[in-house]
Amino acid sequence: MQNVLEHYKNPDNAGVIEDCTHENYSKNVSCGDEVTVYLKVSDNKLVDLKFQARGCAISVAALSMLSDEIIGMSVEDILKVDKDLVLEMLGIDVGPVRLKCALIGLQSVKEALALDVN
Amino acid sequence: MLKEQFPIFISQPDLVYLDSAATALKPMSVVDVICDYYENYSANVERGLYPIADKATIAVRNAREDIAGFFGATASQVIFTSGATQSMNLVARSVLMKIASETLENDRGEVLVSLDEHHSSLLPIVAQGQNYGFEVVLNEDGYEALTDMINEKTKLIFVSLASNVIGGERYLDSIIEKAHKFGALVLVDACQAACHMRVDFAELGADYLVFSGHKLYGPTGVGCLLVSDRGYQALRNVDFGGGAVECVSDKLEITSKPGFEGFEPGTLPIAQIIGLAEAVNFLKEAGIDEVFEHEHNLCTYLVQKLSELDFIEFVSDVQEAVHLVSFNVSGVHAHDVAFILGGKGICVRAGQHCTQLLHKKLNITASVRASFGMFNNKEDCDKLVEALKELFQMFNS
Repeated sequence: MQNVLEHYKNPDNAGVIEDCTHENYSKNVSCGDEVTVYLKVSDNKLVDLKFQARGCAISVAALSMLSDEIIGMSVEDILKVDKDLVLEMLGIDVGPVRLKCALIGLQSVKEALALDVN
Repeated sequence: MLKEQFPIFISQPDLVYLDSAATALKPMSVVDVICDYYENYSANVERGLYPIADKATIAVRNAREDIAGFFGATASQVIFTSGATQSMNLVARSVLMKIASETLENDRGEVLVSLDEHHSSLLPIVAQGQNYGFEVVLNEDGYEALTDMINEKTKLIFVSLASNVIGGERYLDSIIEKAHKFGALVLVDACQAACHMRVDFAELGADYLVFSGHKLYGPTGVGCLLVSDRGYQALRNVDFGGGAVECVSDKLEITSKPGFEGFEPGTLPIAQIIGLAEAVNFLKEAGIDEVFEHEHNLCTYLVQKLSELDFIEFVSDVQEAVHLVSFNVSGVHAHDVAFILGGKGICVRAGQHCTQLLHKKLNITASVRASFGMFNNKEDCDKLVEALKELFQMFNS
């Protein structure tokens, strides 16, 4: 839990990319978690990711850890990332109800990649 | 008080269960009667002509009597449902369909409800009001404001006897009196009141009263809709099937049975009904007034302890809280609070508690709720308070 709290208090890759290629806002209505992800994709590769998040520790920490993992990966590989990787990075049993908190960031990134902002 | 009668504390003696407003724990006697039915006489009721069917039929008839008696009603006033949600959907659909069939489209009238009600109460009356062309009037203030909003156009009102977020007793006399003066029907949602305080259907004078079995130390899958004579007159049979029909003519004209039987199509949840009756008898044995006093004292104690913590933000005025307290921990999401407390064996609820509009009005995304059952004690409160101190420290170190 300590690692989760560290990422929550000081998330990696927090911020905005002004010249991003993809952007997406996601909200978990039932608990109020909100994330906006900014992606910069070049040559089918994620070269940068920033995010703004407002929500519980699990949702923020999961996206912080995920961002560290997927920057540098190809879009195809990112689209193959599943919940197991996120749960492994969190390192705690989040239980069935909080899965949606843990996965809101991953889902938002995948949705962003499916959108064409241009 | 009675902790030893709940089997969950045998396997988990250190469990701190403060989520009775979501569902109550089950006493051994309730588990026993359900097992006894399944093991020894699991026949259908009101049908079979053999000894175990007779036993099941008598058990359900006795259960109806026991449950009715506990709530100051008669057995014929009890309709068994799957729970309060189904009960409220049934009343909203049935009553409004009947009125709509008897009135012109521009003369349907109004339905009235408060935004702080649980979705299971709020949404059925809103949705069916919209479906059948009624004006839906939403009270955005406290329940007391309902009285002044009742007028000659009001047809149906849903109001709870106790909130599932904002703890405190409610007094519905003036609402019911004025509603009846204008010919409106009143449904009282007693889900949060039934296992904490005396609820008397006759004294209350409402047309309908609903509660769920699982919040009353009974099993899931069963609840009750209590209906007055006036309430029955306003209901139309909307669900059909075996056991609820008096006759079907050659021309396919269906005549439902009168009274509760016409609203209980299909096989009843027999084991659950028997379990619910046992839960009611368990509560009767414990003494509902004693339960109220015990939980009120605990709630007052917890409020006092939480008030000493400057990082606790109460969701509402807690001075009159009787069986639950809703709050937030400054700077910590409610789900994180409940998650971390859960890891320490302390069960509380976090979220919007099926009251999205209320949380929006309060300008909070979620809240933590600690709610009491008859088995809780001061030690449970102390453990919660200590865990909250540690949690706040964890997030601010």
